[in-house]
Amino acid sequence: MKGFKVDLTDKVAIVTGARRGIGRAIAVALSEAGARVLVNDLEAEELEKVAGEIRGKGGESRAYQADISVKEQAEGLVGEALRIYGRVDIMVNNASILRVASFLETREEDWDATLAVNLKGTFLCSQSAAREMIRQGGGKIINTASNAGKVPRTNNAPYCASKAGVILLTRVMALELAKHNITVNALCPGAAETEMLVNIQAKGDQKVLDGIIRGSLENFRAGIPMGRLAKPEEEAAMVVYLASEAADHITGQTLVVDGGQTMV
Amino acid sequence: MNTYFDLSKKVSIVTGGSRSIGLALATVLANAGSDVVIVNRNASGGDEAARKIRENGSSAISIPADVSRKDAIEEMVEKTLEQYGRIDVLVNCAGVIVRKPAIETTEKDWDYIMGINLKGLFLCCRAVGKQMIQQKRGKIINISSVAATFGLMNRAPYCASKAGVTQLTRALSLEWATYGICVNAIGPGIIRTVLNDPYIKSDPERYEKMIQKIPLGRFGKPEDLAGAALFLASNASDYLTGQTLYVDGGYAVGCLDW
Repeated sequence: MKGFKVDLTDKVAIVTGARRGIGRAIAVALSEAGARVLVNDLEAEELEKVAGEIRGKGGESRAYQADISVKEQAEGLVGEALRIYGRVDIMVNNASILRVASFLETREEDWDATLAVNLKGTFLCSQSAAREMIRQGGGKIINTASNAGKVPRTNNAPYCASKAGVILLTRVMALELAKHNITVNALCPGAAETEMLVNIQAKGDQKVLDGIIRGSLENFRAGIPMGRLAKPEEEAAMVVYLASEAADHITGQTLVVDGGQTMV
Repeated sequence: MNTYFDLSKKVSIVTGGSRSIGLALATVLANAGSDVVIVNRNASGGDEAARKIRENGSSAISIPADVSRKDAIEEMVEKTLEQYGRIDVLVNCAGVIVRKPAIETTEKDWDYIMGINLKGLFLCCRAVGKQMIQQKRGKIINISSVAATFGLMNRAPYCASKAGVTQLTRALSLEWATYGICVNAIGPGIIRTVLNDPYIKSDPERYEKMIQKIPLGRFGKPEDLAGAALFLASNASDYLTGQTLYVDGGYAVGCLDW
């Protein structure tokens, strides 16, 4: 029996929503495992930095700015991977937006924007990538859902609905694409250490640091058995696993990485 | 990132590790650098498995024990600590199945299956958990089944035992999370092994029906579970606890056709 390696050498990955947070960590981790990574986001500047950072560490990465909720742009993203790298092995649908508002105060615009990026964008990119993966003889589609797609949170109605949609879309795609040797799975992160927290820490303002981080960490900790937030790298590790041959027999699953917060 | 799957200097216990899935899991952990303790009811089977692993250049010992017996399990943990000084990973793979209609299932069948699949798993978790709490770190991997959430014909006690594993996994993960101990389960689908191969082959019609229920179109191999075990044993899964990871070729996705 062979040992498994997290070896994605020669693989080509696309990661949407990769300019920061979990998406950025996923892009970096896939690169460290050997993949060439086309990173995507709506905003170019930070995105270019992520690609540059990966190249600086000896990896291969390019940035492609696009709004994946628009069909032509989603197809353009997959087309770009084919143009530069000639193939697509791993499609990570990570781009998401979160608008916090009570259900009664949620505007139609919040609903439309959230569903467009989180759910329709996942559909569009997956469809485009899957067509290519079928030609290639297989592939891995990994969708970033959320534990909020399995249990409700207040003030997150469109987000929760979109993520629940991602979970079922994942399962339907898994069913239909299995015969093409394409696995489709969803990652469900819990609360992760966000860019915001990192920035506050970097500024080093002790009062703000104590007030905000301690306050919110306590709130989060109360509901997390492991007593801490996720590191983005810990979410990315699951994606690397799902993208690797070690997970070849896993499809249609939601993998919850949330420190035990939900256990559903 | 590549060190994520590295188990160098780790010590792993695999119950039911002498053959089939257990041996595949023990082997992959050993190949990733871990020392391995094979726990098996049958001493010669365990010895043979440990020998195979040592031949591959890893350190492995065999400790015969019946997981359903408390004293034997506590003694097994003591012997492991005498030999290796610590326990980083526990894989609870010892499991048994009896295929019978519920109405024909005897009390003895019930006690046998529950004794090994559920009580035995609890005893091993408890005995090893005590050590992991002291170490403030550990990974427990329980081998469950798709039968934890799906009813299967003619396997009532087996299904009940595996559903119990799901909840035991959650309960232990809650209690031990603050000690840095992750408790997760792997839910295999239909894995073709030397143990069930005769059953799978015995009825061609049933064989076709079984395959049709698996979207990926094939039975699993023990190696398909090895990747999941390695992931759950390594630091790549440090924020994952209380979960059951189904490795089933899509069996649990749900209906294939309306």
